[in-house]
Amino acid sequence: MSTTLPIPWAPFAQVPSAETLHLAPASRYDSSPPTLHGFRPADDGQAREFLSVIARPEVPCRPEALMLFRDALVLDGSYVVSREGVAVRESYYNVPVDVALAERQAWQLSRIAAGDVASLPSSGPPVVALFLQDCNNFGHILAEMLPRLLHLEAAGIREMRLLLPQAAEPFRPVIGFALQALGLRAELVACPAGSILRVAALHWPSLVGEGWFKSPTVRRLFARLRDAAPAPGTAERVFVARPSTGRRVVTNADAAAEIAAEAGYRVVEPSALPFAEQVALFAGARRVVGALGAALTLTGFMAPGGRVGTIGPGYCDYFYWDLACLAGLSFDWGFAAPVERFRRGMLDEPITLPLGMVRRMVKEDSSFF
Amino acid sequence: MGDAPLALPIRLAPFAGLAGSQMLHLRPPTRYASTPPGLTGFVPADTTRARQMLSLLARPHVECPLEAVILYREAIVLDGMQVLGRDGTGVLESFPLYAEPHHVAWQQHHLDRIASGEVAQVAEAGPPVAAIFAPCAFSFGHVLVEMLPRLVLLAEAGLRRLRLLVPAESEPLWPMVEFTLRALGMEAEKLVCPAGTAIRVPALHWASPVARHEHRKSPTLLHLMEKLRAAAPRSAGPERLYVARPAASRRNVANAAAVEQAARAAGFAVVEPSALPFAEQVALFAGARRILGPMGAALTLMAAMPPGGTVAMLEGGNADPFFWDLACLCGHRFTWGFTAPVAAFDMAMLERPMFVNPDLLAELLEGA
Repeated sequence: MSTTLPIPWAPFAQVPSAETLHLAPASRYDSSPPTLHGFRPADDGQAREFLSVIARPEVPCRPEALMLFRDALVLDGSYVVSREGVAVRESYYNVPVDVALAERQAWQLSRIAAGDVASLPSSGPPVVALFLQDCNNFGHILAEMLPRLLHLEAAGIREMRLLLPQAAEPFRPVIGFALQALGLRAELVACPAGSILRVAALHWPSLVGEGWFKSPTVRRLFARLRDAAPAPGTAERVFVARPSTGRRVVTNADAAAEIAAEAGYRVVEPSALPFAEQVALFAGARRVVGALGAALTLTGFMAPGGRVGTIGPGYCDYFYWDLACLAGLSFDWGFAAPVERFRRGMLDEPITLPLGMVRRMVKEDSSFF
Repeated sequence: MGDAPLALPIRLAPFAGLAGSQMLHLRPPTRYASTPPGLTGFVPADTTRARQMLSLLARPHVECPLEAVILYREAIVLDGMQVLGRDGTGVLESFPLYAEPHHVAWQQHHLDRIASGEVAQVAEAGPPVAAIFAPCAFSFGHVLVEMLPRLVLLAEAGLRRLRLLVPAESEPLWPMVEFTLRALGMEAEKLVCPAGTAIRVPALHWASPVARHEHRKSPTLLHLMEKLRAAAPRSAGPERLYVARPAASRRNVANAAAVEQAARAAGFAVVEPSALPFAEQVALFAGARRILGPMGAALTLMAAMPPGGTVAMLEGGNADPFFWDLACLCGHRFTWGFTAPVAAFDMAMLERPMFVNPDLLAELLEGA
């Protein structure tokens, strides 16, 4: 049963008062089927979808734009509502449409009706919103949000006030590095959860990918960040360890790391390094292997022609394979469990890496044989 | 740009459209469910071929066309397989699936011999004459899956006593044909047709195809396998089979000894079916629940395993969906273990030995 939301929404270009400041035309990038290991269908429908997706020959990308919404509201630092009361559909990217959202919107509407709305001064640099639902995640910020800064740059906006949701606070260093790399200056405006902010002229860059797709805009951002980072690292082979206290703890992390180290891999837990060093490390790598996790987004910094291997749980998260397609990397996809429909709980479940699969992935040659 | 279609000397038409044909029996169109396979060691060296394969594996089901027994009067049969109607038109479905350049000379040879009257004649008196064999009639797997089920159609048409045209290349497989005939309550005299010969048949009973090699099989095969299982001796054999390739076969396993040792250690019985009589092969697989082995004709015996089994196949990058499709029909879970990257097809692949990575083998032994 579908949930009716209290705030009606429309695609960004169809929101009544939307103005287009800059438009990047539609584009495409090539797609290559991944290498597969341990793919066992537990849900045939999911497996069919997976096989169809990885057989795609290319990825079409929609036009991207920088939009201006006058007298807009920004909820939680992310969600944009026009002065007519129409939400920008894409600003709710990856938000489940459910009762919880309906209740939250109803609460937000009641607060707006009661005038419980903060305002930003209309004087000052342009105000920008680009963070999304998953701004608590390094990978999503890097591949889905920061590339949108390029549309601001293209529109000649070099100084701004950037709305920063509370969940993105830990990523100030990453955001700062990206702004610096692009020659942009921004005052970060903290937006606590629950905040409702009225903005006289809100600049909102459209998405740079949706669902399983990214955009060449993402590739361009990665190139700019790589240029701004220290010289590429010297480790050609990198094994990416998961943080020991994060989600999806690897139960046999030490054994897997030992296999990788014996095969000449440098075992790294990237979040322990400053962001600039993370970029440099991956820029120098030719072969990266690791358990599925946000740190693998850094593979976008590898030079084309490299090879990435991931072992994930039994759901089909196309994100890293798609990133590899965009970056021109070969991709080895290992499954540690039978493939089933995605459940949120899977994101937290521990994972045991099949060590035989790890051994095959870290082999020096590229074919496993 | 594609190549121009090959111009063949014999005009071909679908079986139902030939002049003088008469449909004696009909099985209506049907379908069977398709189940995505497990994939491991899948390395898409040829991305176009890999995409074709992945798209095929995502299919939800397989549509099967009608099957029939057709009577052709005054037909000519080439090599014991290909059928010409009385007006000289060939039955499309009796000819090789894919036309190749050497077929031009082969067809012309037959036409020249027919023109010069070099045609043998089957006596009019006697049981009905039937043809069920098709190209690759020398191969155990092709005969089992694509030809013998056509006997079911003949039996359903009430033709229980036959004279069966047998290409010379399939004569070594006659014992399995005899066993099948008995299982179906049929009997047949074999009329061996040497390669290169044409035989005129006053009334030819031709059973239509029950497969399109790699992409489609037929529930008629399931019906046949039930009959074969029932006719086979009862055996309390092993539930797990590692199906070895014959010692001198093509596509041998380079590290066969180590692979077989690992299979035994995992509780699999190592079997080489061609060393057994056909009835015992059927009995052996009828008692199995899990099968693992390199790609080869003996794996078609998975059809004798009751539905719900698991099959894991080691394959050297050929990406031939034949066995997966067979597993779909039979209701088995199928896992495809590649020992080499998926490359553009070439005939040499069918000969190339494979080396089985121990970790790949361990994964398949665990999951098979």
